Amino acid sequence: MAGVVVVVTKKLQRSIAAVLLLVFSAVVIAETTVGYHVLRYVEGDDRVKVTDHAVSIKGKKGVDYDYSIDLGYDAISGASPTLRSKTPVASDDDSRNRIAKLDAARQVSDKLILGYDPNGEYQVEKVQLTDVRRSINLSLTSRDELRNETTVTAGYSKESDYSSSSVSASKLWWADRRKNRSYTLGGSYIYNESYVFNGSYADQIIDKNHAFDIEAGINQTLSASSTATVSLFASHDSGYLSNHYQTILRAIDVNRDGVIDRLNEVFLAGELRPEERLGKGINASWIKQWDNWVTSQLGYRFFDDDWGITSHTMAVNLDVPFYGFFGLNKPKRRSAEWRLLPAYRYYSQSQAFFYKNPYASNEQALFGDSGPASSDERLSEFVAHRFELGAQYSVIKSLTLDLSVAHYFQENSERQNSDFSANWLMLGVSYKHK
Amino acid sequence: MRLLLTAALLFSASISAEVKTIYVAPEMQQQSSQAGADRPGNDVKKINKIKKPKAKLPKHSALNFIEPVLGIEDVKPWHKGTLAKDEMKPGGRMPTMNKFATKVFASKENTRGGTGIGGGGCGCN
Repeated sequence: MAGVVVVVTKKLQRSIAAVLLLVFSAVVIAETTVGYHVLRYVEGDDRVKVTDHAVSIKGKKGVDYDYSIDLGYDAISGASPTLRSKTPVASDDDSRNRIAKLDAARQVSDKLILGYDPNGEYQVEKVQLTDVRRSINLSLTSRDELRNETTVTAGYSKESDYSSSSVSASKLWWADRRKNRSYTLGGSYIYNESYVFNGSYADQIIDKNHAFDIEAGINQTLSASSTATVSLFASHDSGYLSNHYQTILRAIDVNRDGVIDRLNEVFLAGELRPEERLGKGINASWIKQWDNWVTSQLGYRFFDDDWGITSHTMAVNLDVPFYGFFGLNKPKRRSAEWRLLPAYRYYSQSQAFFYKNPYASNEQALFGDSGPASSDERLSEFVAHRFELGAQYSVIKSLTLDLSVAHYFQENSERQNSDFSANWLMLGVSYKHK
Repeated sequence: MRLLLTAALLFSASISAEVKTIYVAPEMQQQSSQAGADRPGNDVKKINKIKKPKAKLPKHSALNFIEPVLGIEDVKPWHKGTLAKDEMKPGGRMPTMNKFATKVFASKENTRGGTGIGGGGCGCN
């Protein structure tokens, strides 16, 4: 099976290269928009920093074909929080004692045991990380005589310890002669490979997972200035779904006496998520232009999975002409307009059934020797807010400058003043060639 | 005199106006070509000389009754100028803004799906 998948992945890479060549040859004879954007993302509390470069090429071949190529390069550095032993290694004897304890625990447990603290004290610490991610995504949309659309996409990304390959296909059918209603159906498949710890930090193997998504939607034109979309979606993930950098505390009855010795039988272990995940949800959006001036995009999404996570997402995006916002006169040259794009997003999720808070006391964060277990705060209950202000300026009709600043933060009363926050700045330029 | 001035103004406005999109409804195409021979000007004659493929139209939807029941407006193709604007597309005029934000959400939250399929819009292509 693994061999087949490797062959498929190699074929996919060759296909991507072939499509890339075709698209590039088409660029020179068709309407094309080329964009370059750079993002500087900085997390609070000295966590992760990312510089993300993105190049996009979008084109049309007549009215029957649209294509796009997206290339990405992310440089990641900083630190990520996870549970670690609090007591530093004091001597060679201490080191030998810890190794002996680990070996004893590994003999009675089939779980990934990674560390031992002789004082039984563990705390959340930030672990340094650096990585580089390269990605490519290709998309092609074709239209038939009835203007129904078929879209196929392929993507590939690679990090030092992770790779991801994806394909998707979707179809849009117009329901009526006026093209006021359309139905869409689409599906995607993602194959991921990651280097994971095997028995200890010193040994790594490649593990994999598969993700299938399906989505069906309906879009309705409500008036000459508003549309609404409702879609149902479902996802199925299988394979290695854990984050091997995340650790938990496991109580292992090493001497089989039926009692857990707090000093000798509590270990640092790798998190273990279930090997399957089934999710489903509904997404709805409404786009409306008000008085031929301000445009609003409102969205709501409900999600629920068999890990116990239920989430609600609400978002509002506005598009406001700068002159109207500040009561200025409309510019004589339409292309000289500034556009302001304020956005707000609210998100809330419940915690997974196998999550325990690492910021609580070690006893409360302790898992047994069996079953799924995680202390990754992304699986906890929290509320998140994102505020963003974007601006776009058309230097000339075919050249636009993009800018946005954003603040994102999560709230969770159990994290003991370690609420997550991040800021980012995005700058970009787009050129349209006709 | 006033009448002459008004006519001159209207005429100058009509020749300076920039027409960006011309939509000819299928049912109007036949009438247009029949009437074209009688109209002055070379443009119509040129259009008539072009051999156009016969437009293929989808059948009326069996669910056409929904719109009147819900009071939804039957928007004509030539009234879709606003719907064709960038700001009316999913993701808006600056889709990169949401694309970057979605990457952040995907790495910091545990919800997946619901963003995969576009569709709809003005149907202008």
